[in-house]
Amino acid sequence: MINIQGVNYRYRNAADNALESISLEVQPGKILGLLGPNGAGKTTLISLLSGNLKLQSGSILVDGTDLQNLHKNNPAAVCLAPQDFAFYPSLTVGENLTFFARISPKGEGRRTAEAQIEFALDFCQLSHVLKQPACSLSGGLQRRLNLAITLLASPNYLLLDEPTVGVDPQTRAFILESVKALSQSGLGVVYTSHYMEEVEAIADQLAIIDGGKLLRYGDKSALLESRSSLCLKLVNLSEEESRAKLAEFGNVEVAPADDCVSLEIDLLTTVTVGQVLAAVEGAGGRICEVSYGRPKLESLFLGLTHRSLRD
Amino acid sequence: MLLALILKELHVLRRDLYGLAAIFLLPAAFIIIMSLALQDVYRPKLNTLKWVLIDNDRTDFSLRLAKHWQDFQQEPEAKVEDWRSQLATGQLDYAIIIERGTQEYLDNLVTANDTSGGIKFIGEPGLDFAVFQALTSQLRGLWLEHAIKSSNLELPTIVRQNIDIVDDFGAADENANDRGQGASELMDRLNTMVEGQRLGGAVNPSAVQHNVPAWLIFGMFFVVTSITGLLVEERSHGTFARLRSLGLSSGVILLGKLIPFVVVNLFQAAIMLAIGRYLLPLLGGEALVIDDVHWLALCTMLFSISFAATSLALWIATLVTSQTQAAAIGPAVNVLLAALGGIMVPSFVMPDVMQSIAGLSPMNWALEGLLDILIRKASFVEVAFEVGKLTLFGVLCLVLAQLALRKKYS
Repeated sequence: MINIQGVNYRYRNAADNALESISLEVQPGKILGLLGPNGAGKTTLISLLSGNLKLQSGSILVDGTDLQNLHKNNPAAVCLAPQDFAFYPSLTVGENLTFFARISPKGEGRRTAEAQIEFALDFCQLSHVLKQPACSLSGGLQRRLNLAITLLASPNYLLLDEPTVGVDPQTRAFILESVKALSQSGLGVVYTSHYMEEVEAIADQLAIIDGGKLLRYGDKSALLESRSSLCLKLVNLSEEESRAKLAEFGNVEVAPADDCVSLEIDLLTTVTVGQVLAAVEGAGGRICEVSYGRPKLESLFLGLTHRSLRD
Repeated sequence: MLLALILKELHVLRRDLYGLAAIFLLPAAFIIIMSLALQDVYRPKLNTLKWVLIDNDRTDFSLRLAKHWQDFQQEPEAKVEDWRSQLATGQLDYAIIIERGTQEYLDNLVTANDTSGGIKFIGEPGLDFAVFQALTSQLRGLWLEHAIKSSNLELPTIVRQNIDIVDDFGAADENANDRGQGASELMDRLNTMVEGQRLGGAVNPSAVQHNVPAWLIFGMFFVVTSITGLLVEERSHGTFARLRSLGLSSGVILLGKLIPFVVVNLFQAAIMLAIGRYLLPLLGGEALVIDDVHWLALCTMLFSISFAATSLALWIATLVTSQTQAAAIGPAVNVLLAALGGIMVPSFVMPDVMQSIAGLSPMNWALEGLLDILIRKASFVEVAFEVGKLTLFGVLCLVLAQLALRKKYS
């Protein structure tokens, strides 16, 4: 298990912390969906876990071993698949895999370099392009190569930084299935993405950070299924009036719609739907459409991080 | 629309400080360096050369001659005991030796047939050919002037004899030819009393002997461009981060680039030397003379140049952040170091200040070292100082590169 406790990080010359008192866990065989708007601190956290940044305060233990020591003794335990295509474009797929297999540290029970390459090729279905230069591959194949290289070190934990950016739906489905399969085989996965439906589909746990702070962390089901979301479309009330009248019932997200106001209220557990509807009518509003149920991850995310654009 | 495009481009340029530096500052620096370096090229300052006087005659004549020579040159160096070794290493540019018996020879110029005495001009092996010729001619002219004054023959007498020959041309003066021949022989004898040579009988270095090392160094330092581009690509694509996440330290990654590029650089040097030695003669040029060099010295020097160039490249690569910067700054640094270091303009034609600045360029250390080996046939020990400077420079660049990476990833 990766145990992150009270981690703070501040970049040189920065006024604020990029990470502030972050505490969470990544469990073997589970996928942690790490979510946050741009600049929230996701990349900083990933960089700390991958050893590209040095821990300033707090602690990170990987299966009981301090991360700093781990990177010296068994760096293969936690491996990063960067968002960019982190390989050598002029080398062929085979040459890239051979190179990274050779420099990958030898962890316990690790297969030979050849066996690792074979496994990665099979797992990411790249055997047919073995001799092609990496730069000549399609975006989807390059994503698969990126993942394959990460698997060469036989890691215990995978850090996947937006692994599906710019790929077609088929490749996305393939990558998501692969990540699930890896998790089921016992790997702990940290998965960052801006695609909420992806994270909702594969994550076991969620961590939502913004402004360097951990806003929500826990099992996906606990975070989503324990909450109720009421969606309304109203006329006769402005956005400001709607927000003001309904704020007492929970977090209100207002979106403009044609001829009406569209609202999604993340209801407090003590509030009933009837109370909200009564309040709307009392304010003179008329309900055109209503739906009720478990909130979508995107609603939860926007509810926590708000709609305002980020730097 | 066009205006919008133009304005956009200007905005982009305004915000690219490295790009602006490449466009404005570097050419400005280049113009300043080259103008200062070349300001004396058409009036080379021969009087700045270091020389010694070995006066074995110690007569009034020799003292007068030496004093007159000093009117054109700077004071001779006081330390004359080891003048040969100083010449061999290029610490001295030339020596003038007035042999014993020179005045006596002049006193009996007309009658004496012996060739005792005389003056020797001995240049250091690497002395520029034009400078060598100019100084030898200057010394010969001075010698003739003093010799004629000191000898029993007055200059007008010699001239008169020649004029007589011209006057009598076609006339049946049987003595005219004899008189003319006598004067001509006299002049020949006086001329041969001044002998110009290089230390150890070294041949005059040709342009090839100077140019091949200079452009070899320039070419070796061009590794800056390729390494900078490659490292920037690795960093911007996340490959560098991936390598670090696999437990590779920045130092190991730098070393992984240093070693192959040093090897490639050495191959490049070998090919360029082979071109100078074998291809240039086939194309009608002079061959680079490398047969009698100290090979240990040459190999060590080439290795240290390669190490310095590659390390510099790695340091620059850690500082720049984009391919555009890499493409602009790598070659610019190379050209500036070459301009400063005497690659584009030989440093001996530069003014004193520029020569001092040239001494700060690693290309200058490399050039001095290679010229010592190729022209002065220096041994390993004799170029150890240049090798040491280049190696230290390389180590310093590597440390700075490592620190820059550590700062970036701390």
